[in-house]
Amino acid sequence: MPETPTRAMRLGIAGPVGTGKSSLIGLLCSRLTDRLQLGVVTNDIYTDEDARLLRSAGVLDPDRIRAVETGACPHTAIRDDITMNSIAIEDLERDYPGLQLVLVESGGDNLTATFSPALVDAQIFVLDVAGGGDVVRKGGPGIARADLLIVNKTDLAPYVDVDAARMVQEGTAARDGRPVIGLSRLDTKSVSAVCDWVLATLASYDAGTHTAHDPGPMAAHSHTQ
Amino acid sequence: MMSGGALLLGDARLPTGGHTQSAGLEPALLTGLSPASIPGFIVSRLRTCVRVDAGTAVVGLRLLYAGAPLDPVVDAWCARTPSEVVQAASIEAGRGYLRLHQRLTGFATATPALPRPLAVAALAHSWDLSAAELARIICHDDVQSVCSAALKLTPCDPVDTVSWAVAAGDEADRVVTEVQGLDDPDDIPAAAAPEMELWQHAHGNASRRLFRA
Amino acid sequence: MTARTTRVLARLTADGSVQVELATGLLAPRVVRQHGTTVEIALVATGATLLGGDHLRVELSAQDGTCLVVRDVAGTVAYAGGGRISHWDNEIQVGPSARLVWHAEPLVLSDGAQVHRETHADVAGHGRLLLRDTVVLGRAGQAGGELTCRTRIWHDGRPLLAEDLVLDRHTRALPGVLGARVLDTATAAGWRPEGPPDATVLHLAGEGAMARSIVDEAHHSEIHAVWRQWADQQCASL
Repeated sequence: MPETPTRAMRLGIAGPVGTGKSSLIGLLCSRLTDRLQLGVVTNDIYTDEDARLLRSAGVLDPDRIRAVETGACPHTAIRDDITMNSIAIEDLERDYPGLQLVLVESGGDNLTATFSPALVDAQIFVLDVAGGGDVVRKGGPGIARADLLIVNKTDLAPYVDVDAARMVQEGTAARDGRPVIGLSRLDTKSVSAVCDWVLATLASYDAGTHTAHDPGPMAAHSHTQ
Repeated sequence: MMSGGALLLGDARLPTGGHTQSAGLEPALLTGLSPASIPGFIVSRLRTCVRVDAGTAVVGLRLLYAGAPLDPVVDAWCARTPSEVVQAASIEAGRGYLRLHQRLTGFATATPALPRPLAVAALAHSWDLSAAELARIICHDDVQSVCSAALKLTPCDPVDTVSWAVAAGDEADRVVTEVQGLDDPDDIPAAAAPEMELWQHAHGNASRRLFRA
Repeated sequence: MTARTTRVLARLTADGSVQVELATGLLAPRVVRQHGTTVEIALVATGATLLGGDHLRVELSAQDGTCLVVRDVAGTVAYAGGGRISHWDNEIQVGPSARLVWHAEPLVLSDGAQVHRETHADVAGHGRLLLRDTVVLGRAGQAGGELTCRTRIWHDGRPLLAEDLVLDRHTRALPGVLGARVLDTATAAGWRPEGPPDATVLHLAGEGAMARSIVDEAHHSEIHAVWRQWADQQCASL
């Protein structure tokens, strides 16, 4: 029988600056807060801007939102030295027994930043249509192998001359069938799809059948024996 | 020869969250320290708060080797660290070392929180470091924290920051010589830099900061 | 040179009044006022002080249940000592449930003065101490002499504040050490004054607080206002 976990699931949210990581967290909080015990850890380039934004959005008890300063090393803080993020998560778990899900937002970084599997159990990589239709094709570990790829702000696609459906399609192709969701906060169906994915992943985690995968900073490769 | 444990503790790649610390440089620059004064700032710290931390670490190490409780040396460090903001930042940085230590060896302290120099001393104890090695590490880490933060905070050439660290070597040697034999909490240096303390104290409320302290 | 000790000791007598013992050194203590368990003392210089080689020593003791209020009548100027160091030692005892406030006036270091000052205070449990300490490096237009200050304050048998200030010309020119010529400090030991969070107020880990301001002109110090509040609270607590 699989071992069932004793702590909250940790879900990382990575992706370039401005793609909507904080908004996604706000969305998840507002949609899931009645059903789940939630906590949030933000990683900012500059102090606690994202944490402040989320706190002022009123979607979650402000004390359940913790900010980690990264010393201008957002990539390090989620990958090679996860100490301060781990401490922030452990503090949330200590302060809120029964916590079920901790959302960890990476500081906006580049396409190569992914979470260490020692820090999060699953991760979402967020792109947006405004970043350009070709970003998916550029690839990177997060795009190719995060547990979920979100193509955000699909409602803006006509204004930036991007074919959102094609972006999702190319993402799916680049990900060997791993899930991709085109998201617009104005499209309730897409919002529900993201929430459903989070809840399904959490159910799998709680059942002890979820395995943390490392998207890895490197291109996939194999060693011949 | 430096031991393996000493080299690990002196290496910024040790996962303890060191990259979130600027050793007081960010508060100093925000308050008006000119980048040209950074080499002098490094020496100021070695003369004052780093001496306190190095002495605290050495006395803590001796108490740990003797199996004695750390409370008297925690009290001594607190008395030498008047700002609650600086105390909290050091304790937070200490948690990074305690967490690593706990994960490696199951180490648990009687006191839930230790200031950074004592959290480092506890790992140094596990890894059989000498007092001189520990004092050297405390100095080295502070100097390098300033140098690496400087690269983020102010335009400079990394070669320059290395030259600052090299230039601070004599002062660091003096700190090591002065504190390596200490064993009484009352004898821990208490040298203070009041202006720097106020800078760091104000950092607790600073907005748009890159570094925790 | 041996110290000339100024001594003030306040103790409660069997009938509930305060008995004061005084001894004159380089400073002479005078009783200004006495009411209930509170006694107010003024310290008056007996001659030109501080001169090179002077050893000024002040012992203040507020024993259990008393309140001792000490005022300096004027600031003290440390004069050029011709290479001779002046010493100033303060030894302060605050007994259980006693109060001691020292409204100290500035110590001004002239060019050429070298002063070594030590303040040692022991505050018993439920005792409360409040100290003002203003040092000015240089009279008008001067760079000022050299000062070292060693402060050790104990509360209930544990160290509360330990600070060594080395303010020789070389050290105080280092970035972050002092930055201006006036260091103004108020220290509360055995209690933590109430007040809104303030950039000048440091909360010691033990029962105590220190307010500090570094300015070029003493009258710009932010500690004047803090001091009035703290002193009012200290006296109101009686």
